[in-house]
Amino acid sequence: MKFSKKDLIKLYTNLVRARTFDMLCTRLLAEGKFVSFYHEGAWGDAAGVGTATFLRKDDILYPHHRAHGFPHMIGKGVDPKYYLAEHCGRATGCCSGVGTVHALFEEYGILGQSAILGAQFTVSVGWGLAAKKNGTGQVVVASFGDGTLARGTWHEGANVAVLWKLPIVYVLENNGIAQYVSLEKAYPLKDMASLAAGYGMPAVVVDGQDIVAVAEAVGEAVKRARQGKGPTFVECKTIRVTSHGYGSPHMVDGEQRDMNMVEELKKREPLSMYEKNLLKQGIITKEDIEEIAKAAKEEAAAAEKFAMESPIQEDASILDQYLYAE
Amino acid sequence: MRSVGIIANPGSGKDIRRLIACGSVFDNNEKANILKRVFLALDSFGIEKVVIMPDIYGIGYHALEDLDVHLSTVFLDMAVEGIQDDSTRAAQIMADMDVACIITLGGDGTNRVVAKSCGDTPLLPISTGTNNVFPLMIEGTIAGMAAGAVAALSLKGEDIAIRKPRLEIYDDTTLIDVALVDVVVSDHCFAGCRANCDETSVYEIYLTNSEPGHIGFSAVGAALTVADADRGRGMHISVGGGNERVLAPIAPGMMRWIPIRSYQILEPHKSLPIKFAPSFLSLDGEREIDIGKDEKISILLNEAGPYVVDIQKALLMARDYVNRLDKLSDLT
Repeated sequence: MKFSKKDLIKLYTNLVRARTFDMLCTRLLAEGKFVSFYHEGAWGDAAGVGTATFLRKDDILYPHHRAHGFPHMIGKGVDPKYYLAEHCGRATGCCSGVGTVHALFEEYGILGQSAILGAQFTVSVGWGLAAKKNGTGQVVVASFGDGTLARGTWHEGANVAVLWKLPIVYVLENNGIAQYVSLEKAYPLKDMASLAAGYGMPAVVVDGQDIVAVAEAVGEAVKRARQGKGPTFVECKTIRVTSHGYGSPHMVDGEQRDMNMVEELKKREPLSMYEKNLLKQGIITKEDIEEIAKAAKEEAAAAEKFAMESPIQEDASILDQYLYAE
Repeated sequence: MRSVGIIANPGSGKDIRRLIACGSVFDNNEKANILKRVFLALDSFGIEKVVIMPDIYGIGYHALEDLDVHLSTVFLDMAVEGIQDDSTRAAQIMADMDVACIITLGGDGTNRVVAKSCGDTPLLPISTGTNNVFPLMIEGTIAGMAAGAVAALSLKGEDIAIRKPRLEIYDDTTLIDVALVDVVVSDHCFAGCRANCDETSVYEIYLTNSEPGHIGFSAVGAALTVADADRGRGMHISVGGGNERVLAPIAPGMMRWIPIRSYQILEPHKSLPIKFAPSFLSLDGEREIDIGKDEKISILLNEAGPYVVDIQKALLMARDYVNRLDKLSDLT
C-alpha cells in the first residue's frame, strides 16, 4: 500500500496532535481539573493514530483505553475539545459531562466504551453483522491492549466473527504489560497473532512504533473487510514507558520497573522516528514541523479554554436521558 | 567434537503477506517444536554441545522444556532487542567460537542477516518464513541429523557445503549490506510493513540466480526464457514497458504479470549503479534501504557468499558415521 505525500503529512499531524493532547491531559489531571483519572499514552500513540486516520467517517471504531483513545479519535476526525470537556465533567462534553473517560461520537461511529475492558469484542460482532447486512462497505475496528485480550469475550467474538465472515479489524496494541502484569506472566506465547490464526483469521505482526507500518497493515485489513473477506487481526508491537495510570505505581510483576530498560524503550519514540524519515525523504521541512506543532498547541489551548469555560454538569437527571428512551 | 549453533528468528512468518497474499502465520511454538526435533537428532549423534542465540520469545528455552537429552546447551551471553542485528551478532559470535554449522529457523530475510557475519561457517537453513528461496523445507529431525554429521565428523567448507552467491550493496565504495536472493528497486519511500509485494512499484530486480522454483520477485527471473547454462547465473531485470511480460508468483498465492523492459546476465564482480533515486531497496523481500536523491548506490554479484550444508551429502555421511558407531558399540 502506498501513501501520498498528503496522507503522510496527515499521519504526522495527527500524531503531533495526539501527543499534544496527551501532555495536556496529564497536566490537567495533575492540576486537579479532571473528574476522573488518566492513562498516559505517549510513546505508544502511533498505533492508534495509524489505525484510525484513514477510516471512513461511518466506520465503527472502538478506541483503545490507553491515552483514553485520543489518538484514535483524533485520527478518526473527532474534535477532541468535547472529549476533553467530558474529562472535566463539563456539560459541553461528548456525554454531557457524566461519562468522564467514555466517549460517544455517534456521527463518527464511536459508540461508547465499557468500563470493563473487553466488551468491545462481542459488541463488535453485533455491529459487524449490521455492517455486513447494510452492504455499504462499512467496517468495524476494535482497538485494545494485551491485557484486554485475556478476556473470554475475545474468544467468543473471534469465533463468531470468523464463522459469519464479519467486516471487523481487531487491532491489538501489545505493549507487553497489562496494568501491572507482564506478558510473560499472563500468556504462554508472545505473538497474540497466533491466537487469531488459531481461529483461521488472517493475522499479522507489525512494528507499532512505525506509524506507516500500522497504517499500511490496518489499511490492508480494512480493504479485506470492505471486500467481504471477513475479519483480520493486526498486532502492533508497542511500548509503555509510563506507569499504568498517571500517579499509580510504576511496577510490573510486583516489583518496580527497571528504569534502565524503560530508558532503552524510549529510544523508539515514534514521533521523532517518523519525523526523521519525513525530513530525509523531503516530504516535510523544518518549517512545516514548527507550523504543525504550533497549530497543535493552539488547538490544545483552545480546547482547554473551551472546557474550563464550560459549565460543570450538575443536573443528575441527565443520567436518565442517557439510560432510558421514550 | 565441535558444537552446533542455533539461530531461530521469533519474528519470521508473521508479516503483512498474511493479508495481501496467502502466507501462513508461523507460530513460535511450532518453531520450538521443530527445534526440539533438531535437539533430539543431534543428541542421538552424540553431539556434546549446542550454542543457542537467546531471543525475545525464548524459542530455545521452550524447545528444551521437558526434553530428555544428554547434550549440553549454552545460550550466548548477549543482549537481545528483538531486531535483525540480534541474529547478525549471534552469527558473528558463533563463527568466532568455530561451531561446525549454524542451523537457522527463518525465511530469506533471517538468513540474509545471519550470512552478513557467519563467514565460512556453513548454514543449515530451515524454512519458517514466508518467501523461502534460500532456506530449505526440511523436517527438523533430518536437519538435526545432517548437522550432527557435520559436527561429529568436523566437516568443513567444500567437503560438506555448497557456496552460494550473494549480492553486495555499495554506497560509493563502502559495502553497506548484502542479499542472498534478490535486490528490488522500487518507488516506495518508507519501509512500512517491510514486505514488498507491489509489482507496480518496481523499477529493477537484481538476482543471484534465476533457477525455477523461486517465489518472490526472484521468480521473475525464473519465468524469463534464458539458456540453461545461464540459469545458475545472476540476472539484472528492468521492469515496466517493453513487449514482453511474464507470469510470476511474487508472494504465496500471488500470481502477477510483470512487464519486462530488458534483462541481462549479471556478471560477477561487475558493479551496476542503481539508476533510480530517490527509491527504496528491498533485500530478499523486505524494504531495507532508502536511497536519497544524491546517493550513489551500486550492486555487485559476488560468488563467494555463505556456505550452505549439502543435505544429501551430509545424510550419506551421517549414515556411514552411524553404522561405524553401531559396529563399534557391538564390539564393546
